[in-house]
Amino acid sequence: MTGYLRTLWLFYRRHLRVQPLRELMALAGVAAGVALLFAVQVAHRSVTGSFEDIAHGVAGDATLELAARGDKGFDQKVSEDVEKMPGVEAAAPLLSEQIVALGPKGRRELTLVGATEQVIPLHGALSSQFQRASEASHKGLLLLTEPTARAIGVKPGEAVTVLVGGRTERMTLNAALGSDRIGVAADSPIAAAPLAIAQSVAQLPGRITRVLIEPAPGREAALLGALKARYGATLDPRPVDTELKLLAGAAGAERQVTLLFSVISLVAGMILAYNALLLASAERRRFIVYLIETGAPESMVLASLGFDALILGLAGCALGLLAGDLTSLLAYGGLPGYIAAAFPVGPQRTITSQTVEIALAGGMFAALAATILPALSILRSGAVTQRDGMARTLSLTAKASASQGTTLAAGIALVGGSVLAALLAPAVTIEALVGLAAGIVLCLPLAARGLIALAHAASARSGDASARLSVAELRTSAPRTVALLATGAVAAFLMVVIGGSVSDVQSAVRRGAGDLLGSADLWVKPGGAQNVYTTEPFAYEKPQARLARLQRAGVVRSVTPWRDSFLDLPGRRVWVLGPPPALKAQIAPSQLREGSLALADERLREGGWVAISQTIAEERHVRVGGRISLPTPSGYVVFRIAATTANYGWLPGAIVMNGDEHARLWEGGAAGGKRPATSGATSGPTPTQAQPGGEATELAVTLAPGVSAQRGEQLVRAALGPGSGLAVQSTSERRAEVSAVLGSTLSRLNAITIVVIVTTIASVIALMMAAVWQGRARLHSLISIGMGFGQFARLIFYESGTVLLAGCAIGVSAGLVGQYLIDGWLSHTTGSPVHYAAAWLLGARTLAIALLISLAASLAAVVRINGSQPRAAFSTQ
Amino acid sequence: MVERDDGDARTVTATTLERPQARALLELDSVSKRYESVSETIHAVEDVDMSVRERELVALLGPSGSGKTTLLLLIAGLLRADGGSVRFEGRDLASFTKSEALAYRRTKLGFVFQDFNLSAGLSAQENVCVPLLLRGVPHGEAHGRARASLAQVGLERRLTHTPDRLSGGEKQRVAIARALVGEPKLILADEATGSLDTETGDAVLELLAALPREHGAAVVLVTHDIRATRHADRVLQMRDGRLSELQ
Amino acid sequence: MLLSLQAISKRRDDSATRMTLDDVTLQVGRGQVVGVFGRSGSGKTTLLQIAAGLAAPDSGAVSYDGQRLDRLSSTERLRLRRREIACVWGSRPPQRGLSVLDHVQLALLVDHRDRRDASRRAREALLACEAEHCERARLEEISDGERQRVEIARALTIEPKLLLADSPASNLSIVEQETIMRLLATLARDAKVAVLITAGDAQALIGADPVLYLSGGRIVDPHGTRQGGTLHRFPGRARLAAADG
Repeated sequence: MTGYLRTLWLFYRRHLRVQPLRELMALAGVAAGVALLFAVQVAHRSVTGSFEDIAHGVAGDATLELAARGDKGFDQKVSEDVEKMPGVEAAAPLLSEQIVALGPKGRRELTLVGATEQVIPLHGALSSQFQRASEASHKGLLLLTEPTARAIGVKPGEAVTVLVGGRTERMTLNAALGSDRIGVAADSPIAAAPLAIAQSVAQLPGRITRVLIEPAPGREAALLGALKARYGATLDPRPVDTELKLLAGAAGAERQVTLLFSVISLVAGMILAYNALLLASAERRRFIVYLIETGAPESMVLASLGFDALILGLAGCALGLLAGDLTSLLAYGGLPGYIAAAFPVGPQRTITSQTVEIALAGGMFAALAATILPALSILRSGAVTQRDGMARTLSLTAKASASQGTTLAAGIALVGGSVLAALLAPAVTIEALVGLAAGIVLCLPLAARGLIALAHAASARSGDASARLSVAELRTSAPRTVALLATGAVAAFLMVVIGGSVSDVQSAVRRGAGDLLGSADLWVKPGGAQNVYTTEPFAYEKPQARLARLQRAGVVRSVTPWRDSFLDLPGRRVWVLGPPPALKAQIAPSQLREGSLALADERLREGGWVAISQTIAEERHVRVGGRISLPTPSGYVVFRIAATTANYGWLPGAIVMNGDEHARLWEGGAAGGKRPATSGATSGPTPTQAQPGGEATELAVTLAPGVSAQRGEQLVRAALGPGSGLAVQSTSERRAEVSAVLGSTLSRLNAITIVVIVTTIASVIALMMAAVWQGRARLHSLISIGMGFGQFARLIFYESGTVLLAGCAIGVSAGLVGQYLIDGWLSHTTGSPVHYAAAWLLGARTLAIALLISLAASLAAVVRINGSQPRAAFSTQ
Repeated sequence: MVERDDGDARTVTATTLERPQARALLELDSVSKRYESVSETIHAVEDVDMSVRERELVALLGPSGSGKTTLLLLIAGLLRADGGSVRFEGRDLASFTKSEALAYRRTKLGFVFQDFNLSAGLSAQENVCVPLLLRGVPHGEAHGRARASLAQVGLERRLTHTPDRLSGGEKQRVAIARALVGEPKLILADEATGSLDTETGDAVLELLAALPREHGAAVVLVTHDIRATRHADRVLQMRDGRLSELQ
Repeated sequence: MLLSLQAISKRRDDSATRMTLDDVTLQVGRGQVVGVFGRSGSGKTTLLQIAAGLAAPDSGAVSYDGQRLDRLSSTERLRLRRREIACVWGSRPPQRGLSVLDHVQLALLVDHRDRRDASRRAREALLACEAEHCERARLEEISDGERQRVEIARALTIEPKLLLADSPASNLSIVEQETIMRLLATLARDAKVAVLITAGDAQALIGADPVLYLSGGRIVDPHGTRQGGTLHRFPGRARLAAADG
């Protein structure tokens, strides 16, 4: 057996020696596909991160929970009551609060979880670790993860500044837990403290946001029913993995995008590898003939081909995983995804064994697919010139081959059918794109012939000898022509499709954000980039008082509060926007789907009406003018629907309601909360008077005319003071932050696809140089008989450069179509209106780059041939 | 005139007796070419003296590695000599500008290669046109001259055939027609029969041998086979970079 | 007779009007060296391919060691090529990327023989053919003469019963041709190998007996085609015209 394998290995080594460049190109193709697939899978999994582990690590045996609807939480006594309910084995109260931990080295946005020792009997792995840590050490009260502690530069026993709710607190770090104790949770943005401490920090004395419940065996359903009956009006009794499901829903669209990119990257890698192998197939065929003449049995021939595929796959996977790891590392810069705004998911990358497995499977598949077609063509062509018993067996595959006309017809059908399918049913866009790519590849051979015919006509008219010679060469080396076409097409297609779609989505995001943010000059909010949806409330009395001074000084014209939050509806965590009633435009114009804008704005200002996302409306089967019942901390409230909108950049959906109404229902529902203005009143615009008391999640500041944004920002920041825990941003800064966070996944993917582009470019140049080098006898003879340098350079360019350009043109055209299809799909899956801005500029830029690359590659080839002595034309004897 | 057909002796023909004294077309004086590698210096061509007169057929014998190819490249001006001078019609090739060197190859030289080096996608006629097209000769004129050249080698019925439809001997004849079409003064034939069987090879050799008389071109015939030298006016031998004349 | 070809006919392809081989009959016995000469295109290579079992004749019978070669399964024919029938192809471009030793021992390797044994036999064969110094070199690096000797060493390695050689000495000098023919004659005589060898030129077939002339696909009288020697304007042309006609 080892002898057999060693013989196969001898054959493979021979391939490497004879055509190293082409074998390496095939390897690069597979590796690029694997690298991309890996990096994209990492992106895919990192969206939801280690949330699942944390959720289970905390909940332990608890299968039910009672969750608050607003940030104010509910009375801790509820937990004691629940514990006493029949069917409850154990219950534990929890409080979650968004904080920013500051240290000498940096800051981190975290979710602080406060718990009591009641959480221990639930046997959550994470909880017990935290508990043990806090018992073992008594240096302080705050527990952080080791990476967080390191990032902010704080050691146990040292002070940590905590920004919360627009205030500053100081705590001492008790311990920092590393991955050796808490596993992957160490990468997550969580912190822990005793419940009483957390309540004090959050200024929510005696309040909690969750009760974890472990039901007695067999009593779960009944208990859930009892909890709903008792608390269902103002609280959410639900299974403990509900949040996980909400997260999956929120991340769903993003995952779809990453899936799309996975498919694209794998297909790209396959095409590159296939090209390289196609070019190598002539030489392989000669070798197979040689083997058969030597007497090698058919099984050995097949084994050799299979062995090649295996080596290609293994080496490609190994290289690809390394490259993929590096790529994903570079693409992750600590910026949180938009998911982190609503769920405690960290910005770190998550790699699981499944990630690796998928990448490996993809790589082996790509290698096999890339090898099989050239292998079939080798076997089909019949190893021998005459028909023979042996050749008869091999030529069975000949019967399977289609004629050229059939191939073209199939290609056209695929292209047309795919485009049609994607247009009619956006849900199948991914499959349609694969079909589009496959169809184009099938059409390429005929496209090559058309190209050559065109070139022939053009060269006949021109007096350029180089043109005539190059056309002749193109005709005789059809595989190479097709390979160059395909490679150029793939690279250009990717650049346009990905660059174009990403840019379109980012435009959509910016537009949505722009509408909202256009109403003020400065924005004040707690937290950082993670709080991109501004859902963290803070008491705004003091900041408002401080800014009133600036108002009096004529710097600031108005300060109005926004009240936003997240609300859990069945199956989705929606974003609730609460613009100040003083604001004329309650609904962002670009987001409107159904309804009259002016009327809807007026109704929202009145109160009692809401605007909801189209996706929510469709799910609930409601329309404009209809009614919807929403679960608020104050109980279920029925609203009338003023308009339907897009998703405001939050994929599960958004609801717009009167800000004061929002405050009343969310704060007012909590005992001890202040009551601001009542809903229902038609409040006229009061630009200079902010609402007294209460909480806001964001302050919108308009500056007096003549005050620049920069100056205004400085003054406002100074007025608020360093201890306010509030961040001040200009509208443009805010816009940029929104764009960056909301578009972070796409940006990562964009960066990742640079890998494929670079690989394609490298393989194109290698291909051209290898082809030119292989034909150097002919080229040297031309130089000998009097071809000048300029003629020679033009010859190389015509032979290779023009084909590459043509391929890129095909790729750009296909890419523009693909971009349109993807935009349609993105609109469909995200519910956000993604407008197709045909990436003409991008397409033109791609062609320009292609031209530069062809010129550069041609020049490199020319220099190489010209630099060497023109010996190849002469005999070796 | 005597003809012997055991192949070893030179065939004495009318041409050897009739040719008048011609002037020197190509002169090499103490020409050397060295290649430096990491471990050693290779003396590809060492102190070579050589001359070729107009309308002379000179055979250059030598095994592989003897420096024949380097010598050809030097004669063609594709390589610059390290020492000595290569003169064509009295002018030192080293003094040529780039464009003069190009013109030299285009108008004074013709090449016949062992592997023919025809363009696979062009017909016989188009292949023969190539040197003219490179020079900028208009299409129509080039085609006409190509046809005439092919007629002279007996291939007027193969004008539209591409190389894959030609036999080995026919391909080499196309190559010879291509070499002739520019009316060169000197033809460099590098193992012209190397890829042909004996009978076809002999026919091609006879074709080449007639060129000095029929076209007024000198021929340098590089070969490793002594049998090919029976048409030559002079036979030179190359060994380890050094040239000597065979008597 | 080890190899027997009876009334072999073959067209190059279905559309060809001319027969590549037309009613060819010949036999080769053990210890015999049979030579066939003819111009390029006369059908020599096709003849050897049929004899080797690499191609099937349109009509006629090919027998090896008493068995009909064209009736054997492809597996069996492959086995014969690995063990008993050796082919030496003449002016083919060398297989790239392999060392001389790998090339010589390849038939044994694909036959799953022991590697050390294969190497030993290959080296012995190279020695016998005076090409042992080439062992490590690449096939494309050695000279034509060395390559032809390597091809014969390759054939020797499998210890064949039948050796088919297609213009093994073309493009070689007289001296080298004689070396090759001497090797083959020794092989036939000492190892009782049946040798069928083709060439473009009868003069290359030194030591072969009988020497047959293949022209236009048929075995003809070797003395029937000489032309007279009047000089034309283009002697080469006249010679070729005669050959064409």
